[in-house]
Order: sequence, then structure tokens, then C-alpha cells
Amino acid sequence: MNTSPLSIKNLTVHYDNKIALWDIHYEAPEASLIGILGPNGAGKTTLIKAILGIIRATSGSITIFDRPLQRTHHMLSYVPQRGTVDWDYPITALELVCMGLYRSIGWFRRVQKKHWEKAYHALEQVGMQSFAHRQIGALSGGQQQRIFIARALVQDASIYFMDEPFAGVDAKTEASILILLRTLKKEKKTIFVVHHDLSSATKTFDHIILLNTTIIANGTVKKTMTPEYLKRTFGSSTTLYEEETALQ
Amino acid sequence: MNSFFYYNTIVVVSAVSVFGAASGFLGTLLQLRKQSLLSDAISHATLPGIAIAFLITFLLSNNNKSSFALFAGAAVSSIAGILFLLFLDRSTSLKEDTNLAIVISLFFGAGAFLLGFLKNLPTASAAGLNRFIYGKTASLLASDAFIICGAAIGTITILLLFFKEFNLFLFDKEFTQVQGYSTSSIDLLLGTLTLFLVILGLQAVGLILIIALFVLPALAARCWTDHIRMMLLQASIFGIVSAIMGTVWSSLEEQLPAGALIVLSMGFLFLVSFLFGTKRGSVWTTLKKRKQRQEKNVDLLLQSFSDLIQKTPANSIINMLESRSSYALPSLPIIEIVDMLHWSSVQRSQILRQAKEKNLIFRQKDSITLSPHGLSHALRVLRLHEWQHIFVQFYPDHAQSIHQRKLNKNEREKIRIILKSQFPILFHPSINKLQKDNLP
Repeated sequence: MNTSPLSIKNLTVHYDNKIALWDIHYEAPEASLIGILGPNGAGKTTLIKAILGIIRATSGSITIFDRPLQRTHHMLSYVPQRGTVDWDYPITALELVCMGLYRSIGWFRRVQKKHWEKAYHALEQVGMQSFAHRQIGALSGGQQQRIFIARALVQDASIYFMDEPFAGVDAKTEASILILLRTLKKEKKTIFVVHHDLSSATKTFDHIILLNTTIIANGTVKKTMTPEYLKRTFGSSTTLYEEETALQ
Repeated sequence: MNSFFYYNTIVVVSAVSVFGAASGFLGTLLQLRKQSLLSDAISHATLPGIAIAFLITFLLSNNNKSSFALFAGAAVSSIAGILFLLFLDRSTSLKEDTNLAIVISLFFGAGAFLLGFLKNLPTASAAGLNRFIYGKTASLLASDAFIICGAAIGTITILLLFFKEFNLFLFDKEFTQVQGYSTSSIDLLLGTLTLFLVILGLQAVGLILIIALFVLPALAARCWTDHIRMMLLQASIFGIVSAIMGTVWSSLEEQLPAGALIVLSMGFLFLVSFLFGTKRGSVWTTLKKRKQRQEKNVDLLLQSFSDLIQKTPANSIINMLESRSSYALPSLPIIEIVDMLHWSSVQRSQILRQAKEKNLIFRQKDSITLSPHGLSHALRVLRLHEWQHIFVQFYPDHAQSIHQRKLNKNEREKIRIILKSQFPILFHPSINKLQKDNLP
């Protein structure tokens, strides 16, 4: 039988009295790079957080490879938005990356040399090894984003959820992160990326979820990025994107 | 009698210092959790419970003040306080600090009311309750001291055992949750340990001041280090030192309350750290910034001679450098420099004075000339300036890290060759000598 890396049924989430997500049904394709697109307040972050169990859903079920979330934590990796943590926290970049290994190290055990080496290797993958011993607050926004990604890489998960990994990152870093994501895909991982830039989305992702409280469309880029779907997702705010594609 | 007194003092001092270590350790975690005030809410919320427990034991057994009953009362009422706090956090949209203020003032108010009522009771023993409010370290019994000591060591042990998980949780709660940890359990453990430690420490420091032992060591330690392990260690040491200082001080001046003296000692350590701490000490930061500013301004002053220098034939510059005389170099009117650099008149006189003190310039009435020494330095500044240009041009990726990251040998050599071909005089040996390490 064919099992999807992520399957969502009837997912609804409320914030107070407001509906954040409504009746989401979704089956993720295997080994692909999936963009979650939608206007501000469409529920992109909420969707990721609900899948990961950070936010409690009002209803619905989520399975990872046909298993419930409670038994699949080790398969999931999360790159939050940079603003969610206090960067003044007294640790170095290497220690932050090493935190991705804590679960596999287990209770009452110390971090050993092999773990530090693994974390260092992840820093190398994102090109941050020369900053390994720098206090995290002394890093720039783009560098902080990269060590967050390194922390996810070190976990060696099956599914990655990244919330705006390209936000506040320069073009060169964006390209190098993208190469990393493609490598992950080749290793048969599934990667979800919350993304805000419509014009780069077509080049970046294999699959796209257009989200505005509910899923407007999902599937290949070709199938989803049509003027009609975009209009239904973004309302009139897509005009810029349309003009841009018309120019190309 | 004397030896007993001595023994008791030693036991009390050790207990209070171990307590200081534990509160410093736990307080650091609370500070990183941004919940420093939690210990304050807990301590203030104990008061009504203490008063009620006292009243009950008084009614039942007429005069006995049982420590255990008082502790139990303190625990129950501070748990009620925390539950009330959680209720406020969850069911209102008020900010966390507002809720803390509500809990602290309401519970303390209720406690003060009950105490006032107790004072009217026939026995004078109600006065003994004061030790919970202000603390009475010196009169601690050895048996109480052992309990405090054991509890503090227990707390530290638990914190060390779960340090990895606490660290993860305090830094990134959501990530911790995604990893499958129960964050509410970790939070509950942290809260329980705080409750436990606060209640046991009440007799020593008193409920008003106990917060200082949770907050100040962490803040003081943060001034010295950027590493969490080091911070925990230092906060614990600060806790120990202030406990010993305060207790010893109070044994010299018997009428002074030990709790206050411990807190004041801690305050002193904090002040020293705040001023002189190597990481965030304000004195060093201010001095360093000032020095940076001065040096940069003097460099800018020298840099304003760049055009003049570049117009002068290289031969005569080399001549000037070797004969140690720069009189062949024309002077620059001050007004022109000031216009160029947008200095205020205060800045101008300050910078010119510094440059003169360093023997870099000669000053005539309205104009300045470089001294021979100043000429070499002006060339150094020029070299640094040109170096940066070439550096950014060839290695844009490293541009931000120019001062932090040393280029490798080949990269340095490449820039050096380009620069040398453009401005051979910049590599005159007399310039190489200047601040060797600072010069690329």
C-alpha cells in the first residue's frame, strides 16, 4: 500500500472565535519540495504548527506515514521563524545546532564528542563553520537562519517544516539554502516551506499548496499557479505577480 | 555553650550558602525563562497560608508554633497563588507582569491583614511570624539548616540531571514540543522546584527579599559570560559568596537582619559585575567605545591629508620619512578639515588636542601640518583605507567580517601585491613598523 508522508483529514483550527484553518484535507507526495503560499493571515504558520502539534486543532486527524504524531516525533524537523526565540540566549552557534540532537542523545546522557562533530558537520553544510563558537546574538539575521536550518539538518528527519526560511536572507544565502533543500529531496525527504514570494515560488518548488484558511489548490506548479487559483487565494493582491510574469 | 553556638553558626552559614548556590542556579534558569518574578509571586503568596496555619495550630494546641504546619500552610497558599496566576494568564488577555502584580499584592495584602489580626491574640508568639517576612538567619536551628541544605542540594541535583532538557526548553519552547517532549511537564518541574526552594528559604531571607537571591546572581553572572554553563556556575558562586558575606556581617552587628545583609552583599556583587563585568560591564564598554571613537576621529583627521600626500611625489615623501622631517608637506587650513568632516567646535578642539598630544600634528594659528610621526601614521591610515577598498572588491563575501576573520596567507598576499603596485610608498618600512598587528 502506498503511504503518504503526511496525510491530513478534516483539520480545523480556531483562534479564540476566529477560524484560522477550515476543513483541510491533504495528502503529501513523497520526496518533494512543497511550497505553502498564501496572503498574510491565511494560516500558513498555523497549518505547520497544527501539523506539528504545537497548536491544538479543533478537529481533524494527522498521520505521518500512517502513524499518529505521538509516535513520529523523531521523523519531524522544524525550522521556526527567526523571531520566535530570544537571540540573547547565552549559547554558541554550535550548541544551538547540537540541540537538534538532544532527543536522540536521550535523558540523563551527556553530549559527547561525536555529537559535537555531527553538529559541526551540519554547520559546514550551511557554510557557518567559522562561526561555530560565536554567541548566537552576534550573528546576522541570515546567519541565524542558517544555523536554524543546520539544527534541523542534524536531526536527520524524514519530513522538514520550514517557516519562511528565506525571510531576511540575501540572494546568495537563499541560493545556497535552496541547494540544500534540493539535496534533501534527493535523499527522499519531504520538505514543506512556508513562502511569501510568489515570483520565486515557481522556480523553487515542485509542489505548491495555495492556502487561504482552506486549501484553494494543491499539486504541481503548473496545476496550481494559474491566474484563477491565485486570484482566489490572494484576491486582488496578485496583480503584481501577474504583471511580473507578463513581463517575463 | 560557646562551642554549641559556634557549631550552630557554621551549620547555618553552610546551609545558607548552599541555598544561595541553588537559588542562583535556579534563578538563572528563571531569568532565561523570562520568569524572574515567579519567585516573588510564590514568596508573597505564602503569607496568608502561614498566618492561617499559625492560627489553626494556635487554636488547636494553644501556643505551639509547629514549623511543619507553617511550611505546609506556606506551600498550600503559594500553590493557590500560582493557580490563580495561571488562571489569570489563561482566561484574561492581561499581560503576564500585570497578573504577577495582582497575585503578589492581593496575597500579601491578605497575609498582612491576617497578621494584624493575629497580633491581637493573647500570646506574644505571633511576633515569631516576622521571621518569615524579614528572615532571621542567625536564629535558624541546626535542624532547619539541615533541611534547607538538603533541599538545596536536591534542587541542584535535579537541575543538573535535566539540564539538557531545560536548556532546550528555555531557548526554544516550540522546537522542544516538536521533539516530543512534554513542555508543560518541564515547566511544571521548574515551577515546583522554585516553590520548594522559596518556601524553604523563607526563614533565612524572608519573603520580601528572597527574590533578590533568585534575580541578582543571574544578572551579575550575565555581565561576565555568554555561556550558559559558565553563567550557572558563576550565579551559584555569587549566591554562595553573598550568603557567607551577609551572614558573617550580621554576626558582627547583631541587631541587623541577616536577610537584608545577604541581599545587600548580593547587590554589591551585582553592582561590581555591572560596572566591571568582562562581557557587559558598562565601564569597559563605555571606555572601549570612547577609545574607538577617538582613534577613528584622529584617523579621519590624518586621512584628510590623503589628497595632499598623493599629490606629493613619492620620492620626496620617502625623503621626508627617512630624514624624519615633514616640513616640505604643505599645511591644511583647519576650517577646510572641519567642513569636510562635519565636526562640531567641541569635537574639533578635542580631536586636535588628542592628535597634538600624540605628536601627530603641528598646529599653526589656523592650519595644521603633519609631523614626521603624523606623516607615517597618515600613510598607515591611507594604506588601511586602500586595503579595505581592494578587499571588498575581491572578497565581497568577507567584507563584514574584515575585523573578525583573518584572511589566509594567499588572500592577504594577493591584496598586498595589488596595493603595492598602486602605492609603493605605502609599504615603506617605517609604516610597517606602526602597530604591526593592526595593519593588514
